[in-house]
Amino acid sequence: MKDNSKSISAELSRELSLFHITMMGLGMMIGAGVFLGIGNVIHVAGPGGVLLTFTLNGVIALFTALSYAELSSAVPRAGGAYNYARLAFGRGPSFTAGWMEWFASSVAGSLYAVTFGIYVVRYFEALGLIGWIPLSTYTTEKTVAFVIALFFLYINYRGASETGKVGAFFTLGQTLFLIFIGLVGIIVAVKDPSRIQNLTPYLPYGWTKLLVAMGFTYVAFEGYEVIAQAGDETIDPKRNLPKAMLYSVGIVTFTYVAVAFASLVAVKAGTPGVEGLPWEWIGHFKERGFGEAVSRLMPYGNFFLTLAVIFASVSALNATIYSATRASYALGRDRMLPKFFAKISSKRKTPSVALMFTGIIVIGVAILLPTMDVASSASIMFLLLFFLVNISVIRVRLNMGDELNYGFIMPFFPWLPIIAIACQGFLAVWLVHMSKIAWIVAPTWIISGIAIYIFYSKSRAISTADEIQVLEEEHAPPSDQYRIVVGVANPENAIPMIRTTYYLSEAKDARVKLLHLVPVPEQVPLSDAEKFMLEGKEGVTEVMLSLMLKFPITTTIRYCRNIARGILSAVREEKTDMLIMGWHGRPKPRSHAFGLGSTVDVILERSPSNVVILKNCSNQPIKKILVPWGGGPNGALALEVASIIAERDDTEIVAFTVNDPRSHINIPPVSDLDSNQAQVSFDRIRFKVAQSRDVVSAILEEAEEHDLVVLGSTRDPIIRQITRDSVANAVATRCQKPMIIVKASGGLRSWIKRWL
Amino acid sequence: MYKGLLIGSGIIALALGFMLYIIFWSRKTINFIYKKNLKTAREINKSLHERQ
Repeated sequence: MKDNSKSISAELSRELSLFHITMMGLGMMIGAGVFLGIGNVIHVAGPGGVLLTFTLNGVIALFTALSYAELSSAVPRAGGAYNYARLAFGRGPSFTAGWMEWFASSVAGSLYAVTFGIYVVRYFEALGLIGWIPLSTYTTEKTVAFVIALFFLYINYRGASETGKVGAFFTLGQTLFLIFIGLVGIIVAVKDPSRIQNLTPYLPYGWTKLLVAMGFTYVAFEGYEVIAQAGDETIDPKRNLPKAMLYSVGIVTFTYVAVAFASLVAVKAGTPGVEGLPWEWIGHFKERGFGEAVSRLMPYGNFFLTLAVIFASVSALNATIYSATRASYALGRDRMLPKFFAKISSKRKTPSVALMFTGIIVIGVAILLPTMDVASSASIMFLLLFFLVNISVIRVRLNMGDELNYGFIMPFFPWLPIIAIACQGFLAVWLVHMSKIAWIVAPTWIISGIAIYIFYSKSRAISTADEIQVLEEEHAPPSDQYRIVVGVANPENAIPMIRTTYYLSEAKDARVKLLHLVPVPEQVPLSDAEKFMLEGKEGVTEVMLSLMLKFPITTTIRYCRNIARGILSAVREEKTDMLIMGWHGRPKPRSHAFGLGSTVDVILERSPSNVVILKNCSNQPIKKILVPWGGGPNGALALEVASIIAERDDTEIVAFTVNDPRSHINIPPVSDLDSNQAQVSFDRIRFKVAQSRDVVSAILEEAEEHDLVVLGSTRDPIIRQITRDSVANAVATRCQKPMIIVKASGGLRSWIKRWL
Repeated sequence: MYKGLLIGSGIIALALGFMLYIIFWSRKTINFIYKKNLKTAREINKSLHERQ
């Protein structure tokens, strides 16, 4: 996306790593299917049925994931099935895919709201806390579902959303909890092998019931669509999108099978309260069966399970609401639905009309339909959507295989998508045995969509920037020239950075890029971020005019979800050597987990480049610079930055070391610095050593006599900084003098990252 | 009585094994395509055959 009117270019920020998008997929899948599904499947298909249902569904889902993986590697753009159908068949099927996706995601949201209602009511019932409510259990569950859906619609309207990182860790927690349940089940079965008898008779109602069960639980495998939707925001999408899709399907299948096994062996035949065969007893609870089984598997099982369900269903509900909103917004934007679907709220910057219609579907289906009909409706719609994607992958490969740039192609082509098409078509039809209502709701939705397309959309649809474009991720060309990126939040923050940026870029003979980050709400695809262009331009133009008087620069506005991740992705893509940014110096009081704030901490921890952060700096002359010296690469970089400033301003540098008599740490002398390691002006440096038990106060006291403090950042990871404040962080937050905080590039990638 | 259990367990083991094989094969293929900087489906197919 380029702004051709001025010399300011605009670009999208790629912030999501393989871990993030894998967790996004898992978060969508482990939302309800497993919690509601296990008891119902045991009821419908018996003990062997539940194991086979999740295994065979996993295999079919893997075949579809391979289709998604191939298509997303060739067309790594947001849009998912909507884009693939357009590429393969044109506008009509593309509209149908978008229309189905909107409904499928909305109904999945209904299912997650209902799951939340069922498990919360069940828990409070067990504690005896809701006996006073004059409503039936069913009505209470639906009321709770209504309230939670309304709450998340409001959250989405506000534009607030859990950040990718926090959401990813919630999902990781849920997944680990389910794996833990699976392991406990295996241990229980090994200790008491008689419980294996709970698995017999294996398929008491035959194979036909197994097919029914496979149909209505298929919704538990729909996570790869949300991964495809993240195409515009993923780092290295050609590699990471296909991997995330396959890993997430693999992880959920193994987890589901382990958890289903644990549920079956959790209950011992003949124990008090268990009537009949254990699987019959679990099955008769239907949606609540999984909860009843887990509560007998481990101490506090009820509590932990309710906690896991709450996290799982709310994160999945939130994700499905914005996924459904994006789908209807895209239809409005392309004029396939009336224009008002693409209306962005001027106050909240979110697509309010698309969100409102999504909310009507989510709440309407959650309240009006029985739980299994909700699950079946969502499953049918996803089965038909994936059916379309599997046909698309064959057509695209046959017609455009020599034109597209693939990052992955599936094995056994075209047999795997053909098998998936046959299985999905069959399961969708077979679901009529489970829910006749679902088979009225789903075709009615599709037929009404086709009618809307023929009589409304066909003549009005417009070509947009999102019309199929195969975009490569833009990486900077290799170059020997030193690259500096200057992150600018606003003119006030940028103007004091002019002098330091100028000195550093001159000393390094660097190419300078000015970067202004504009956050865009998650409900709006980044590809539509032009609507936020004006805000970005206002912020950056003034700064650019000031800086261009000093040296030539390029300027970019970058649209992102999160400022820290946006800066980091720019640093990676630009192969930046040094990042310079400003800091207001006030960590938010509420963000206890962050020493210097949620943006600065993340950048210091994760940036692959040197980082220079300016606090309270001005363009006034400097006569004395203090560099607290504790050794290490960050200290060396601090001395180097101080030397560059000192050379220009004819300034004295004081390298100040504080020895704590209680500490046994040996601080290396500055003279040990290798001149290859840092370009330091030793002749300007005066050494000073003090003895004090309070290192921070000693540095702060010394700083009072200087015009500028240049401080090497702590090398402690964030997790350690939470437990004990580092000297560098304490000085950085408490010192009121102008300050530059630096961190040297470096760091090792973990072996897990290398393997993945 | 245990016949169903044995057949079912066999199907599950085979299916999960097949899934693992496909996932690992795909991971290897994605890295292979990236390293060789392959582009079109035809190029990739040819190189994969040569790899075998």
